[in-house]
Amino acid sequence: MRSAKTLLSAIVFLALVTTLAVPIVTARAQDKIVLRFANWVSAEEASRERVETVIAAFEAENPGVTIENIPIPFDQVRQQLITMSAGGNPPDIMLLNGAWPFELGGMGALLDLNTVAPPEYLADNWEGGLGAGTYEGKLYAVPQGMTPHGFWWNKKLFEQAGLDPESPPRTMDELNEVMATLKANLPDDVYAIGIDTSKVDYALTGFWPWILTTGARPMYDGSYDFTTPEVVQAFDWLKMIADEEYTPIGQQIKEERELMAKDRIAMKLDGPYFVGILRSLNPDLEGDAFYETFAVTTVPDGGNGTPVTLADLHQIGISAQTDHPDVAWKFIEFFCASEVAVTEYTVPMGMIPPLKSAADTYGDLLGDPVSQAYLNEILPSMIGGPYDPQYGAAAQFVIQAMQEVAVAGFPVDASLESLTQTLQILYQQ
Amino acid sequence: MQPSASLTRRLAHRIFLSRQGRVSDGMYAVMFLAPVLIILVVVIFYPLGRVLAYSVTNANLLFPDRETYIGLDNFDFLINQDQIFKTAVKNTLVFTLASVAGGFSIGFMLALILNEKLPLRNVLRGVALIPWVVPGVIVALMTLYMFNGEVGVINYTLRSFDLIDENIPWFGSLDHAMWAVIVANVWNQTPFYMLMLLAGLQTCPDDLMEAAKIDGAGSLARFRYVTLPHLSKVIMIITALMVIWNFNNFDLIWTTTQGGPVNSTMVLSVYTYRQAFISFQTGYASAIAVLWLLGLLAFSYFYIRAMES
Amino acid sequence: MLARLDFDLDQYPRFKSTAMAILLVVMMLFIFFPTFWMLSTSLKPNEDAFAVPPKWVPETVTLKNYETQLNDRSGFRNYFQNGVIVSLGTALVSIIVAMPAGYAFARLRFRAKRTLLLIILASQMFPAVIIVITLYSLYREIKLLDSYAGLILAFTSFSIPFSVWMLRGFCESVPEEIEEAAFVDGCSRIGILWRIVIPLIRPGMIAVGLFSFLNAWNNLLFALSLTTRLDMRTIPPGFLLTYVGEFQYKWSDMFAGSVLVTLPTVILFIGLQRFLVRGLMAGAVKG
Repeated sequence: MRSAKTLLSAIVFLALVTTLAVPIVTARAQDKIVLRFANWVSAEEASRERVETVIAAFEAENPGVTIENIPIPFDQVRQQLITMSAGGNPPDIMLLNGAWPFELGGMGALLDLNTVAPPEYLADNWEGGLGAGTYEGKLYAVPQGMTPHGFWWNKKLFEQAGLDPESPPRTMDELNEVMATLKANLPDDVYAIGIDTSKVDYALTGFWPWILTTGARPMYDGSYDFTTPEVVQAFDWLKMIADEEYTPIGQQIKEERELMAKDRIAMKLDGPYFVGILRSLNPDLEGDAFYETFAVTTVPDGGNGTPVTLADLHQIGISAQTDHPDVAWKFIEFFCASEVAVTEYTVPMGMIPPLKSAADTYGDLLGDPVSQAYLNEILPSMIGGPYDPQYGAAAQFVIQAMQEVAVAGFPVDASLESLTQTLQILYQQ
Repeated sequence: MQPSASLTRRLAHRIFLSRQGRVSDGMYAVMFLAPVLIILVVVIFYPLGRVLAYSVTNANLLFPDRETYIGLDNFDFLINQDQIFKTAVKNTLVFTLASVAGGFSIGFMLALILNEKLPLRNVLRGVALIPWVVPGVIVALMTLYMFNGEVGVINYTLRSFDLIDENIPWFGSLDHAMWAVIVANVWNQTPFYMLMLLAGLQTCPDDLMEAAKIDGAGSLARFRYVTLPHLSKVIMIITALMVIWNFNNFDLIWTTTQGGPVNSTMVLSVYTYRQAFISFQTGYASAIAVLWLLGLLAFSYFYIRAMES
Repeated sequence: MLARLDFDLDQYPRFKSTAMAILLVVMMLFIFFPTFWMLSTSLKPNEDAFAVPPKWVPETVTLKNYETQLNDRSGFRNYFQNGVIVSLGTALVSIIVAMPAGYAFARLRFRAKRTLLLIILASQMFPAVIIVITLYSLYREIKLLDSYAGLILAFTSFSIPFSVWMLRGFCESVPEEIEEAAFVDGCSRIGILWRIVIPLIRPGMIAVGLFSFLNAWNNLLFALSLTTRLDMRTIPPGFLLTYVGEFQYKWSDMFAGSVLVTLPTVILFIGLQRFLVRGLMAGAVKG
């Protein structure tokens, strides 16, 4: 009985300690400006220390300001930011991607950055970069790192298949020929191209360039018609590469990167950070060995006239509810364009700095073939996505159609027809 | 001596019983139940009330200004027009029933074997518990890794034993994705059944078993007429519990397939999550949740009824 | 039918033991194979993690993955520590609140008893994914976001039905005569609970504690949604943060981390297995 008593008192005591300890931990100093910065980069091992260096440098320069990190897993950021904003508890500064600025902007959670950003700073941005954050005339996000998808190819596999390693396909017709050649001349377990046909949201981000390159612009400007000849062309092509087994089916982009690093996929679309990823997956690619194996250029043209890609960027925005918009902007400018940020974070993480002038300022850092291809060819070819506040809901149906065509073998026409109807119902609401 | 002792006991018993019915019992009940009820009200029932209220609106987190009362429109659309919802209901049943059936049978066999006198029995029992303590997220990520169509070890093993000729794209095939997640789920849950049934088997009275043996009952007969009836209650409870838990199983499918390819692994928990956190249609998601709750309540009611009779 | 039921395995001990051994090996392979693969991958460099053909035994054994995790102060160690605090807290709170409730359902007579029990059990049936939205706003208003107390409260609510039901079975298994004897000695209800029941149902309390611990340790959805600060993350959301990056999976690191977080629970469960089975025997099975 005695031991039972001791056990129970110990239990009660511990429970009390755990519960009471909490408020002490949450207490905060009041005299400093604290800005909460929600992002995914300070969580991931690869980038965490680099981000912390940049934040420390900012805090050293601005003694009255503390940046409090809110790391969120990338796949959860959108959901958490929207929940936090709707729950009245948003972070002051948010790292954003894809349609999030439009969704958050549409619900009134983001500040119009035109009110805080100096015009000369904005003028130094790429046109497609600002376009990726502008909705109904308001600028909800500015680019922090330029990461649009370019067309990557494995030169050694090209050579092995008897193709000229230095001339990537420039048109979709050329691409189709190259795929056939690769398929015919490479071992069975090597795929010609990697397309993400999984159910994850990013599958659509990865597929947009293939839609845009045909000249199709579905969902842009309030038109949700997926039955136009250009869209059909893109989905027919998707069906073709699935049927011909040019691409591994059902693989997520992250898994395809592993295959690409092992010389098992010859071509795919990916961002400039691909250099670092491939190197981490295959240590043999350190140094110049990388550039002897891989190169990047613009997406092959499928009738658009000029090369085009989706402006899939790391962007950054400010909460509409923040008490310190000016300080928040100061941090954004620092995080996007300061020397510390560019040299310690943006470039080492494989992103291209957001400002046009960076090409001159940091020329020596950006002299490698990949950065050069991005600065000269890919960045000028990017356009903003067809985003609006309903995009997240709509994207699920587009991805479903992609899977119907690529995985389930449904007829393209029927899938796109039903997709168009579904989207029309969705947007009527 | 003896009669008086028994008299005292009977007297005490009467007083004890009579005191049980008094006000003091009710007061104690309030005191003893209050902590549990307060926690449930805060974390489950208050949100449940809010969800009920949402389910008759078109609430959408992305459009806070547009929220209005729309009556039963959500339910109407769900039942009459939403094809994905129908698929999700069907998939949930498949996922739940297959997981429970698989986990239960393997767990039962394990329990029967590990109830016998074996060398290293305690070690084996311990090892068999491992899958259960692995967090769901890790199980899901391991599934993704091991069932990978190109580099996964499952395909490799199957091919080494000539069970398949070509790699199966587990998560890129409408016919296979569901089975991959079910196998992973069964792996994760089997130990729970084993543990509960093992506990049940250990309370199985030996004398009853011996008596049956003397009467000439064979192994199967003893299993059918002694073991099963003894375990019936625990079987009923764990299966009901696991049906309910598997309805709520979200981590595994979300981390592996997110409901794809197309909608072949779209279960209710994932569909609700998609409506709530991808489309942010809080009202519509709440309506799904309400139907779900009604479905499970009906299931439990009839299941317990059927098992009791 | 009955004819076949006459067949007695015990009369063929060799056949029985062979059949059992085969079945056992097959099932143990099923159970142990993924565990083995987890262990094996955790000892490889990441680029070997997706090699074809797979390397069953790591070619180059490296403990680097483990070192990385163990040295990761703001990452792994932080999640692990939070996981321990929150899970222990949940286990303790679950025991404390479920014990009197279980006793009340077993022994006390009061109105609406059956209804109340059913309501408590039915609370499991509600989809957790939808509760999160409203719980988030509620927690913000009562300042429980980013707190251990908030997490413990939420996790406890998921352990309550099972715990109450188990402890009820337990209290029922305590012979009523003992309680009566104590009553005759002048013990009050609380005295009986404290001095008689609790010591007798300790295995049940341990079983309930283990269940609740595991629930909290493994919970992803609530842990992810009700915390925002890095230093409050528990293990499952921490894993998603650390190993499922924007761009790639970190298989080797992830599996080293998995081994590290699974090990303590495995040891805990194997060590307390005796109590667990005994606890379930008396509580769950008979009740």
